[in-house]
Amino acid sequence: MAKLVEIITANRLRDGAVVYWNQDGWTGTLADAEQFSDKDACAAALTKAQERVKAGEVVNPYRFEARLDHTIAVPVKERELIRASGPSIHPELGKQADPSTAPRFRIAAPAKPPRPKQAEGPEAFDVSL
Amino acid sequence: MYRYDEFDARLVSERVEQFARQIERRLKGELSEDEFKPLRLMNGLYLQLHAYMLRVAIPYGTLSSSQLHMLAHVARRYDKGYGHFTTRQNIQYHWPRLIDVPEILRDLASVQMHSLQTSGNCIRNVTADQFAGAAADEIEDPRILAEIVRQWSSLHPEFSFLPRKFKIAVSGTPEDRAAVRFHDIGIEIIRSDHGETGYRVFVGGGMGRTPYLGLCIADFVAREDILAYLEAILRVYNMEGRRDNIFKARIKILVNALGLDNMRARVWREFEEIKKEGSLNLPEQERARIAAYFAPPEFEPLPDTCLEFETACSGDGDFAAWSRHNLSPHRAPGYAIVTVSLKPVGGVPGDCSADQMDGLVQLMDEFGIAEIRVTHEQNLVLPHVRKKDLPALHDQLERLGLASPNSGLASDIICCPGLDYCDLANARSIPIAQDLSRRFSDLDRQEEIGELKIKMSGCINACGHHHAGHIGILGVDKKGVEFYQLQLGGSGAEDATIAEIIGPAFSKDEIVDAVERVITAYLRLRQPGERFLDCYRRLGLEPFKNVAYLEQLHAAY
Ligand code: SF4
Repeated sequence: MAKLVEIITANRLRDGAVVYWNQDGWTGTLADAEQFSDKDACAAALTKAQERVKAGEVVNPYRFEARLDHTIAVPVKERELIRASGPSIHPELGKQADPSTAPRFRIAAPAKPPRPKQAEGPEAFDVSL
Repeated sequence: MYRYDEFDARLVSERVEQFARQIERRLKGELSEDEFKPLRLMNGLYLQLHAYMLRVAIPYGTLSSSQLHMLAHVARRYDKGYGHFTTRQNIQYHWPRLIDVPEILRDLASVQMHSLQTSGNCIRNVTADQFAGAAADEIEDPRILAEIVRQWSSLHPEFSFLPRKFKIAVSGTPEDRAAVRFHDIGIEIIRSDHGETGYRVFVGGGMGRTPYLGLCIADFVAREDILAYLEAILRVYNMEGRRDNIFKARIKILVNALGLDNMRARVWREFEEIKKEGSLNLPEQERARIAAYFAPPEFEPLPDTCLEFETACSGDGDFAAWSRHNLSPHRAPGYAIVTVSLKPVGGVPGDCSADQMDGLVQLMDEFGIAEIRVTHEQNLVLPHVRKKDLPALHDQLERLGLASPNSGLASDIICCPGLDYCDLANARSIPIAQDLSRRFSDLDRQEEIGELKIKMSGCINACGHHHAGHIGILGVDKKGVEFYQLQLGGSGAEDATIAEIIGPAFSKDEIVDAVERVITAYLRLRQPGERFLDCYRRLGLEPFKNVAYLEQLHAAY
């Protein structure tokens, strides 16, 4: 099983951008985020990160889980995958649009590609009352 | 259209400067986040997944061309070149920077726009039928009352801290395009047997976690009494509404707990008190003053049939298809109401680029159209268009990518922003809507299916009105993975009903197929002339449920 790590994230106060905790400050790129495998270390860092709210740097820091794929942290939850990338419907917007902030993974396509009009599927159903 | 009086203008600009100063203090660390957040929300500024989101009020969905131009300017200058029109007839910007918000609000104030009352536990922006002042069967322009309510409720000292948010909608026609029975208060303008115009009032409707249809609390409220009556309802709610549990704080829960008769009696007692004081009587003179702002433009005397138009309609080209679905009857001969679809195949429902907005502004100027409307179905409406202008207007809409001929059809999907933007979301909604719209993109197939309202939300808050969808889809989260609940048989129209959940949720790879199977079943089971909704009402859930899950059953065995 892939190893789980924790990452601390927040939104930057002045523009709302997604940021990640790294050592003693913030980075806009998930790939540069500090990965915590120790719960206590993560909790200690979160306390420090929370102090930055007062200073007017960020809003609402919290931690989330990611799976380590080699060294790349891939968030477990869809929400964090999307925060790390940008709207899945607009690949030209958000972090994913800029090579310097783009995550090193891709969000799975949300659904199957459309079927051509004359689909064979629905014809096969027997609709009984 | 309504213009701010001096009081409104001063109030808005004072609020902007106050908020600018509050932002400055927050950035300096002088205000804590806990202190700042409520102030931010009071000004319509939310924090979402990737950025802030600014919600700008569009009272009763009506915009002048200069206001639309300003919305385009804001999108271009401060955002990423587009805006998102919502089911509340508002516009949301998904990328503003906090540091730019004062400038944005100043720009908006210059065209009498703001973001007040788009958030918080107050009476929110009042919504109304998008065909107001144009619909052939209209009794009275619903925006007159909507504006009266706006003035009465704007920063009302007694009602600025209600148990929960409060939404009011007004419809002026028997056909309900404002979903009045899904609002905290829904008002239907009616005419009595004696020919007197008044209001039927519904209370306690709503969506969200516990959907309810509004119940008729008053069959007929006279014009001069309406504010007193509304105030009475709000008073009872303000006093009795629960404040201990956010999920039980809306008026629908109170109405249900008290029972309609009891609620009606209490409201009546308050109403009599308020009447005695007499301060909330609405003098006819004042009503007429506000009504004058909504006087329709002077319509040219035109014959109702227009040869150029009829000829263009009789072809089999794109114009004919568009005219079949996107035009509605106008009260003035020779005119039509145009629905501008914001649902291109595979597009994001409700999104509109700055260039499209400015293109519409140009087109409005060219064809002498003073107003444009935002619909709760996330489309736009040009309310007064000469039939003879329609072919040329259609050409221009086509150039702007705004001529999708799908109003009221399967690909005219209501969809909330969902997990692609929204902090509260459980699942993405837009990609599913896009796939459905591609799946049903063929116009012949959509026409064969006929009227179909698909509505989709990314969480239980139901901004995408899934409870009111003929087919409703709700995104849910199962251990961080997106799933989709299918609901059938809802309606937000005059035949309002709440959709029923058919069973366990589908995965994101299954939901579009399941919807298609349900629709295919309908095509086989329907009787002549039956819409999906009628067919569902006749047959019930079972046959549709069976086909929706059929493929999974096959896979399981
Ligand atoms: S329904 Fe939920 S996910 Fe959709 S916009 Fe509303 S709060 Fe966000």
